[in-house]
Amino acid sequence: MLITLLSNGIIIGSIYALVTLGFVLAFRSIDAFNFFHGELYMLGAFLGFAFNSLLKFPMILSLLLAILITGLVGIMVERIAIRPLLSAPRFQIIFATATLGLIIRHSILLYTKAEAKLFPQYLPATPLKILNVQYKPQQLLIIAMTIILIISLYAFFGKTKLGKAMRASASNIRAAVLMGVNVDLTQMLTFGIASVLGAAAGILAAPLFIVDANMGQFMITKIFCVAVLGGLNSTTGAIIAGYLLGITENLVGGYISTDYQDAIAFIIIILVLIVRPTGIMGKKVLVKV
Amino acid sequence: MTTETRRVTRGELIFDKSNILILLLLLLPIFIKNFYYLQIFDIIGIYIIFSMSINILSGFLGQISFGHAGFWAIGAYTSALLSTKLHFPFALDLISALILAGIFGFLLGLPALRIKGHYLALATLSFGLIIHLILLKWMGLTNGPNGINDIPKVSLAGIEIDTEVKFYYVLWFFLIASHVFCKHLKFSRIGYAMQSVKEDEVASSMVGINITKIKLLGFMISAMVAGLSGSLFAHFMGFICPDLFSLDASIVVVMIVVLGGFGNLSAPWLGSILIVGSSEYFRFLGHYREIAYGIIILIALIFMPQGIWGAFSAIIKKVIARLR
Repeated sequence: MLITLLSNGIIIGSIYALVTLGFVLAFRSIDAFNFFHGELYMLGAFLGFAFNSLLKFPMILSLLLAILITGLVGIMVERIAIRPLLSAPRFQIIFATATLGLIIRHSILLYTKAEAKLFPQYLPATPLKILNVQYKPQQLLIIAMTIILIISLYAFFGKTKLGKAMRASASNIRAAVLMGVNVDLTQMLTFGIASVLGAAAGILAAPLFIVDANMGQFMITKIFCVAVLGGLNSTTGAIIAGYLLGITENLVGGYISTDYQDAIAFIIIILVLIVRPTGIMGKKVLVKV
Repeated sequence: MTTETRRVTRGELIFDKSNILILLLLLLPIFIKNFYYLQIFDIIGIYIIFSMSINILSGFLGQISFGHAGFWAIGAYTSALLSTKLHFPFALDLISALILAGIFGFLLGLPALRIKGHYLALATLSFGLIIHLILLKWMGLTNGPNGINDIPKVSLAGIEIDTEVKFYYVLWFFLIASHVFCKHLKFSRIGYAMQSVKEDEVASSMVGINITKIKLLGFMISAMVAGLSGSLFAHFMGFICPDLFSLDASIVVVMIVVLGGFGNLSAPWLGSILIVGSSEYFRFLGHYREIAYGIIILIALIFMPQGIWGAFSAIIKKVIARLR
């Protein structure tokens, strides 16, 4: 029982960690919430479904196309709803991205008519047995892909010139510009990467669940919880917090009641904000008067 | 979004342009005989009061909230439960709704003393979502997703408000009362203190404004106004369910004020008439309506940061300046 709950927690936690990683990257680069981020998770899954089940593309091709297009959509969101508002009060960006989310959600509802769709299985369904617990291959893929993506992201940001430039423009735009970094480009790329992470999480999670237009809205609350718990500007914090939330939710669902499983995220948000607003890994930002 | 620096005289407060609007609205039922249209005006009125609460919180005090549907729900459910289960008269359930919403406003104001900006947005957002979740899951009290049926009509001092026209007048009495309240609040000592906190907290505390008190008061007043709107909403609809108070309601009400221009006394009126009025009118369009709204609001956000009224009056000022 405990092992099943823990491993389920790690699986869903991987999804949370991946999506929130993208959210935190975008947050660090523009210093504003991207309410659209949940829709990227939905869009990745939905496009994968659309290409494969409706247009009959081969599986690999439709997954790659879904990730690519979601990345482009993320870049477009940055161009349309965020870039023109960078000098306005921050809540306007929140609004603009939330509005774009509304537009995309209802565009998809036009097609699905509020029906949930089944995502095609791209791995065999025969369960594997590890330590007396049965796993679907999809669940193992989620864990493996998350680790691979996280390691390659850290390598990209730590080793490559472009990754360093992106980190520089996230931490201090003015200094980055003075050092000759093309901040426009790095911010755009950051959004691209963030969106790709969201889409990848959507595609990885979709075969286990269903695809519907509201899954992004459901995910965005989890993203907020994980981001706040991890400390809004910390990527490592986001990963740890993602797994923490996943495991906590499953333990509460298993031992207390599944009714309150979804309330955990909100309770964590409020508790963290009251007790320690910087989260577990966040750095305190001092504001000069 | 600048703060008025000029002291407003008593005469200016009592007689201003909004009086014409109020008179017109009182005469409206004489011209509109179709009850469907009158009901649309009722819904608009409820939303105007609701968005006044955001206007007080965001426009005057400068705090953001993405969870105001929570206060709206507290007002609505308190009224609905008290009047259906305990058979409270209207006046009493309204007052209880106001008090309960005020208490919750105070409680949400407490974390708001410490956190700002994004963090406050998240705290209020989760407040709204928690209330929504409680409405869904606490079957014993709220009857879960099925909601509460047969909420009695309003009755005041023995007079049954049974016709549409009578309800219209009850609603617009509260609407005008809240408008006058907002107007007096904005130009009162507390209102000036709120606007000063919005501009600069540190400077306000230096000139002796008690920030803790002003913020808590602002949250409480805002929550109570939202509760008032919720209570009227419950009696107007006769039926409420949790989905009426979802995140979308919280976002719509802020959009109303964004479109009208934060802090303007006319913002709730303008925004509600535009958004709620047209959304009732174009209901048959389904999802296309939401998409069209999204696009309009996006354009307004990017190109008219002062709201529609702000952009409009800026254009008029330019034209007048050119004519001179």
